[in-house]
Parts: sequence; structure tokens; C-alpha cells
Amino acid sequence: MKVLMIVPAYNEELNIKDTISKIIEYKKKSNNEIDYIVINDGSTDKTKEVCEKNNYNIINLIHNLGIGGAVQTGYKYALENNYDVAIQFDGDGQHDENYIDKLVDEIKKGNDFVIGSRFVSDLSKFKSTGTRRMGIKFLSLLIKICTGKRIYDPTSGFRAANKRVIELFSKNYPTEYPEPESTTSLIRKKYKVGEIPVEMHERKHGTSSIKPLKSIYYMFSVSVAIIITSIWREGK
Amino acid sequence: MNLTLKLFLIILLLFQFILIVRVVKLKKLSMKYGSFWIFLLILMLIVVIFPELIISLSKLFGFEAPSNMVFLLGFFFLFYVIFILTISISIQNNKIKLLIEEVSFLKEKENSNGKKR
Repeated sequence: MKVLMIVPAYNEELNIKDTISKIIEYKKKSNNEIDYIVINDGSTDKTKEVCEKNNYNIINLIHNLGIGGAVQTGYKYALENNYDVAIQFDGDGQHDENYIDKLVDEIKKGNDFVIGSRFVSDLSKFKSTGTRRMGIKFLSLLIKICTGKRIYDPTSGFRAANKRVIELFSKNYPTEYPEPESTTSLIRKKYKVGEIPVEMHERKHGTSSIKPLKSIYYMFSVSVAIIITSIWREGK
Repeated sequence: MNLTLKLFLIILLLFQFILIVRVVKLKKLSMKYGSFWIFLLILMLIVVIFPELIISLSKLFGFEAPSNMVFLLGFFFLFYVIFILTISISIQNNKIKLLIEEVSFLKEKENSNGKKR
């Protein structure tokens, strides 16, 4: 299968080289045909220069769009170049490339969308901080109530999509904090969503994009987004 | 507060809620602003159900009448919304300017490439 790794990067000059070399290394032993594309989301640091120096495949957005826009650019690229599977893979080194084939296997088994999860089993030692874990548990419960399906790690950014989902996402992908919302809308539209355990690591350099002060309002707006997405019919 | 008035206001808020969800669903309003308005609706609902809150608050801050406080808060809030709107218009203007520049640049490049061939 032709697999595209979508690597969104915003100010990741310290991490991006590590991430991409791991993917290139993994490419050799994988059973699938793996490509990658770095989406540089208007970084203000040397992310662009680092990528160009190493000859990485890169799309430079001329202005910062936020994670949703960056990832959607990747899905559009996947559609344009006819990939069978697109996998979101963070540029900060949190995700473990050794699970790429396992995600693709789940797609081969007939799932439309597969989430790499920290919480399905005890595989991952790094599970984020206590308060954030509580937030994730709450969102997981809310999605269960709204859609009837349990997603253990709705905020995971390590996700694989098949062709149907690529097509959908390249037309329509939420802008702010897109993971829980897009997953809810897939379940709601009766796509088959799977979840497998993966390992995740603590990011090596820099800080996460979600600031603690804003996290309460974040929880509120994500909850509203999940509820609105799951009620009433979809507008065309 | 009179019960009829209370019911009327709650129904009004309900209609407002349906309107917000509808425009979000039709993708005419982004989820970000949708959740902001719903946050405001919840605040208003709390005030409608427990008007005593406003009455005791206005006493605490020394307003002559509770309605004065409501109007002042409403005024400040609208002021704030308009302020945020002008900020976001400015950001958008900047982005559009950048887009026009970049697209024109690309077109010019494409044209001059064509001429060379």
C-alpha cells in the first residue's frame, strides 16, 4: 500500500531532523511503500532551512494556519497524489515510527480510520500529566455518551486514514483542536473507527501547544464541538 | 421575576441555541465562535433561572438598581465583542494582503517561465 506520513511542524527546528530520519530509516524495513511530507506551518524558526538543507519533502505554508490547516494540507496532498493511506505523525518526536505498519494493517483489515492510542493497554509508559489525563478521560466519556462508541485516546495525533477518509478530510477538517471533533464526526457518519495501542514518548525539545491557563476553556469548547457534531443531521 | 417572563426568556434562549447550532452545522459559523456564543447562552440561562444572583451582586457593588448593572455589563460585553471583531478583521486583512502578494508573485514567475520557452 502507498502510505503517506503527514508531518505537521511548527517551530520544530530541534526535533524535525530526528523525526524524519527515523521515518526514512523505518521505510527500509516496512512492508509498505512509505513516503512522508513535512508541512511547515509558517514556522518562525529555522524549520524550513533545516528541511531544505537535508532535502526533505516539504510544503511551506506562507502563513501560520494552526494544526488543523496544516494537517488538512497534508490530506489534500495525499488525495492529489493518490495515496491509499495517510498517517498523521507529529514533528516533535512524540510518536513512535515502529507502529506505522500496525496502523496500516488495521486499515487493511477494513477499518476506515485507526487511532494510535496511549490508553488501550499499558504499552505506553508516557501517558501525559495527571490533569491532562483526566481531561482526556472526560472527552472519551463524552464521545461515548454522544456516539455510543468508546474512544480511549480522542486527542491522539497519531492516526491513520484510508482513501475515503482522506477524501472527506481534504474537503472538511476542523481548525482548532481538530482531533476529538473529527473523530466524532467520522463515527457519526458511520465510518469504521479502530484504535490500537502504541507507545508515545515525551517531547524532547520545546513545549506543547496547549497552554495550561486556557485549558479549562479548551475543555469547554471541545465538549461543545463534540456535542454539536453529534446532534442533528449534517449540513451538506 | 414573573414566571411567564421567565418561561418566555428561556424559550428565547432555546431558539437562540438552535440558531447557533444550525449555523455551525451549515458551516456558516466556525466552531470556535459557536462555542463562545453557547458559553454566553449558558451564562444568560443561569441569570434567568436565578435572578437573585444579579440582585445580590448589584447590591454588593452598590448599584441603585439591578437593571443598571445588567445594562452596564451588556454594554461592556458588546464593546469587548466589537473590539475582538476589529482585531480579527485586521488579522484577516493582513493574511489576504499576504495571499495577494504571494499569488501575484507565483503568477509572475509562471508567466516569465512561459515566455522563456
